[in-house]
Amino acid sequence: MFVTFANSQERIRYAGKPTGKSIKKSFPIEFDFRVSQGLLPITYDFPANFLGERDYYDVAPPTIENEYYGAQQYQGNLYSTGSLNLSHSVRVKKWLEVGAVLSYNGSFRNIYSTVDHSVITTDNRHSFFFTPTIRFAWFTREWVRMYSSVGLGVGVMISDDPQFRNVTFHEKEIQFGPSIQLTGFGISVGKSVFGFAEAGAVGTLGLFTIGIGYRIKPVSKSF
Amino acid sequence: MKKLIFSLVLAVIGLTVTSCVIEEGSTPPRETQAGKVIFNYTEQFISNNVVLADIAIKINKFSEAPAEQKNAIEDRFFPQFKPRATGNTWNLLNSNYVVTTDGKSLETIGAKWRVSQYNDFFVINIECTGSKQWKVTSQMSSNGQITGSSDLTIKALLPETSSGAALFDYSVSGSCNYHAYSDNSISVSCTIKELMKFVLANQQSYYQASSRFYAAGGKIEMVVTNINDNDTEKRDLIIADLSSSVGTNIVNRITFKGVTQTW
Repeated sequence: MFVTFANSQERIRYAGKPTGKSIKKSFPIEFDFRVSQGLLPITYDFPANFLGERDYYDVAPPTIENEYYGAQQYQGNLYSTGSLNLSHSVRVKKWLEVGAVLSYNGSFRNIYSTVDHSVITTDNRHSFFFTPTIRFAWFTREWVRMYSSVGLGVGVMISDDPQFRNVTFHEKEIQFGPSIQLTGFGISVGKSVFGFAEAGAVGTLGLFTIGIGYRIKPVSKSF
Repeated sequence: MKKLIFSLVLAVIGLTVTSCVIEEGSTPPRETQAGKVIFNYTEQFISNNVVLADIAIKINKFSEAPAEQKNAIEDRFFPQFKPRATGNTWNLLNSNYVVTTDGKSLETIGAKWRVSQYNDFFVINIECTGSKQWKVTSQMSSNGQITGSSDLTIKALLPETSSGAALFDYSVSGSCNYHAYSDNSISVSCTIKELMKFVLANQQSYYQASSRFYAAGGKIEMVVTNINDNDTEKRDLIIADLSSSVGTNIVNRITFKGVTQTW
């Protein structure tokens, strides 16, 4: 759908012009570097983070053990970095860019002792994603581009697995999985240096994303 | 190119420090909350023993009463579950309590009775050791949440109120130990340091599941042992001091890991 729309948009722009070399003229390759931050990314702990995380002692049967150890600790605030993204893409057609995004999303929480309020363990999660992406520009002007994109890749989440009964025993839990990104609407404003924002996105980059980027057009290369 | 890399690094650092709170932390429990948890279980376990002993003592009173007083005693102490005897076995009708006597009055020194609940899930043996004084023991008795044993001495006290279902309150001494019903990863050993007073609660619904005796005085030490803790035994000492309690105004000072708080 994106391809059809972006491609047709290009054809419309050239409608009325003579056919032949003027349309198929060489297109200068363009490199694109971006850094961005995404809000509400989907990581492998998505159900807990977005549907309301339940403390283990809230859902476990009220046994003496659960009550006793649950009463000796409490959770601090849960902090999240959002999705920090570093991407690189190559513009291979006027309407098409291919590239990849490296993403990191960290969430951090301290578990405190009830008795002296010291930090007795942490519940931290680090997610890394590598997402090859195809970006379809369906509106292209000198200063403004609008686009949609899709991406599919892989990811890993490394999380603390605090053993609540014995907080001195600490293991890391590692989860592998897919990285998926669907961006409904993206807009970039600028020329070589540009700002951009994406919304209506679902995936590991975040529901809303903003960032800055830099475009390079090597003189010697072209398609 | 260096300028580009420098700019991107700066941008990444800028974004990294913008982490935000996405979920507020939980409200901290009181510092001695864990000690209160253990005290509650201990109080409940001792109460389970005292409730069964109290049933035996009341059935003894019922059985020894003159015929003309039996109805009044039955109505007062057993308003819901009527005691009926078959040989040396007493059943409280429509309940899960069964009392087995040795044929002697429970007021006779040396008399030994047995009281069971939930088809022998919770069983005590009660032996008269003096005037209005009994030894109460249980072995691996369970109330569904914890399983344990006890070795208690109870002595009858005049109840706080002379009406209602209370025949006696009790002073209790001795010790008990228990662990979780499902496993024994945590165990609790209790020793009564100062005579504890147990008072009948919820007198209007006596012998219902919610009825119990509650601690209204005395002092008890509880040692919690985690025997699954990475192969190292970890012990926590908890002290509950109710000696400042007056009547039904319970003052329970609980000490846990060096912190004392009043509950």
